[in-house]
Amino acid sequence: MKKPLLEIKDLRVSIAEDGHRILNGIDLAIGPGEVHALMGPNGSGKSTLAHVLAGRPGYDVTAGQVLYDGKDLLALKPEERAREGIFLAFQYPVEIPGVSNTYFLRTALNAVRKHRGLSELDAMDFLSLLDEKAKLVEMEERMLERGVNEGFSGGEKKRNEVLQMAMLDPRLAVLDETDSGLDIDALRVVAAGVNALRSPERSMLVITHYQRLLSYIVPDVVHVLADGRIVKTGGKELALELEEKGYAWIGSGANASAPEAPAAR
Amino acid sequence: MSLSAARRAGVDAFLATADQALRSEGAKAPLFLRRLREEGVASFGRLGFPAPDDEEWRYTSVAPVARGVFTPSPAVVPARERVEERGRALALDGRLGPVAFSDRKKTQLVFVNGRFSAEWSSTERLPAGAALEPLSAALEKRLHLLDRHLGRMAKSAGHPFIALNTSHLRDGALLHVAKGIALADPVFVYWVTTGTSQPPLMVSPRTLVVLEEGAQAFLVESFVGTGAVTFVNAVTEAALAPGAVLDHAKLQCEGPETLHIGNLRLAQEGDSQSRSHLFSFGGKLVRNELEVLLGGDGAGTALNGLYCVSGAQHVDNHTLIDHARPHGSSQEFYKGILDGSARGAFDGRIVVRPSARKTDARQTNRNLILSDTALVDSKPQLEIYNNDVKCTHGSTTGRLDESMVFYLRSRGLDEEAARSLLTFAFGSEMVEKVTTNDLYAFLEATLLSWLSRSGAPPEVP
Repeated sequence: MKKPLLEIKDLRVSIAEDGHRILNGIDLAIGPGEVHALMGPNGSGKSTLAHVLAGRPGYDVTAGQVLYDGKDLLALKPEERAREGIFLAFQYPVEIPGVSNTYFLRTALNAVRKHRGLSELDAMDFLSLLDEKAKLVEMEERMLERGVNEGFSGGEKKRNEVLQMAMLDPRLAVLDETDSGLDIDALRVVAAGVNALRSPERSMLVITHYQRLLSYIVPDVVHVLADGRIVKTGGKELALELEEKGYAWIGSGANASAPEAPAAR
Repeated sequence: MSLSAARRAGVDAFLATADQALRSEGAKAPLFLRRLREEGVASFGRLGFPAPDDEEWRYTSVAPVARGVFTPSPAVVPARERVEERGRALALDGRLGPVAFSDRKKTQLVFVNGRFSAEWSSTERLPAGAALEPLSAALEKRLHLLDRHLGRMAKSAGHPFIALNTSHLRDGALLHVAKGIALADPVFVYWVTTGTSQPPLMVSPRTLVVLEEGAQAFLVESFVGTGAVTFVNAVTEAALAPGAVLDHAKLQCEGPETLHIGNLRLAQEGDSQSRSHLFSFGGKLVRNELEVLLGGDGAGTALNGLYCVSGAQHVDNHTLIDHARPHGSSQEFYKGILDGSARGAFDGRIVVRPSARKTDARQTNRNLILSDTALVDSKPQLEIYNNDVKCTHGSTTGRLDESMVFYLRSRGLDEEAARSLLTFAFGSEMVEKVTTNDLYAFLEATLLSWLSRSGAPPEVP
């Protein structure tokens, strides 16, 4: 394996507010251009891992480390991680009335470009780029003029996440339950958008509860998370096996001496 | 009612200046106007300043006004002072950007320290049937109209500050639009205060709006001032005949030491519509009062307000919507942004009288607090005396939504930029309700510059 882009070592995380332990020693390495899927039952810690990677406040990292391109990721602010090329597609994208989608995208893109030593895009160049990327996810112009995610349907919100990803051109994309709440048509559009963004320079961590998404976004590696640790790793066929046998099968195969973790989140 | 000796002394000082003004004009003023002023003097003498236990003033102490010593702006000033005054007014105008008055591009009246400035006023674009003129001019041409309406909506008997304003009434603005005439563009009245004098100035702006049947107008009243201590006691009253439509915007952008008490009174007949936009940014102590009487069937009003205060500023918004007839509607939406150790209040009363069946009244107040030391009181009051109505109200006060802040940061915006952008978005919702371009551009710039004083401004969207 090439030198990994992301390397998570024995990561342990609790909720800051009440001390609940969620992640109990995660080890995971993702190489450049690789697509990894992270599967697991509700409450296994999938979304927590996504949030911790993006730098969401409210979590305590009690042990372990995360190296991104060899650097200490956890020492960076959320905005610094974004500028360094980490992108989290939210499970529940936030509605921000009063900030137009276009304005938001332009501000974000220019913040990222500035950090990368690129000049800010002028209005014309920005709009033509936006136009090109919006086609990827079949986003209509009227949605670009609305407030960020304001009044969007579940599918529209997820398409907007993928549009942001396409605009910001990350090196590592973390897709948190991007399939949740989508009907099959919306799922196809979103997955096609993601697949169009696959490249040897971009790694992805695709978090999902169901195998369904992985028929569209085919992963190189599948990990199974249970009680805050990775209990099984395999190829793409592992997802199908899980679908067939259910998470209970993994539970019985997990390390029996694993400490009890609360099933929060 | 008897006033305590200390309060009496303060009131007497204000009455003395009113008496002076009355005597200096002698018998020149028309009888109705003299009576109006005398009534103001008598009412203010009786009412005095609001007492500390007055429920209508529970969030605001007027002590800085009552204990202050102010001089009414003189009717005539020496030439040299006029030159200086003009210079300071122009400096203030420089901040008004797209709504500057010195270019005379709009239909406008300008008053400097309460005195009409012909130099900057411009009314030649008005269509026939519409008049925007100083009261001093209207007294010669439209005595009957003034007699019929002045002081009828804003009554001295009920309010000490209306009484005080009326007791000092000398000049003001009249907007009159005849039956069926619709003004295409907004008209502006500027109340500019350039005080530097000791003791500080008291200015008593007065505006009368009369819209005849089916008439339509948009009046913008802009209050701007220097940093000197000044007491601005403004009264605007409007009569809307059946089917009339009035948009009124009040831009309150005075200096940090200004004491501003503003009263707006609207009286509406059947099927008339009003929209009020309040933008309150400036001043040390600000009270924005607004009363709407929906006195005819099917009359409606929309009240929008945005107040942004920081430092040690105090702003109190006090509204009353009186639903007196059936099928009336009111939508009230006030927002506040408070930073530093500023204090804010929203006191919104809606009365639905027994006769006002099928009333539709909605009220919302939202406040955004940016610091640990800012404070806001929100007091919605619904008094409903009829069952056949739809009335809702809601009030929220809180901080920026941290999940929004994180979302923006996760896309590369630094924390300060994220907070600033979200604060701007909160306020701009009210700015967007203003549909005229110049005004919109001015308000957006004003909101941005307010944000830049209280944090980092976002780039102009």
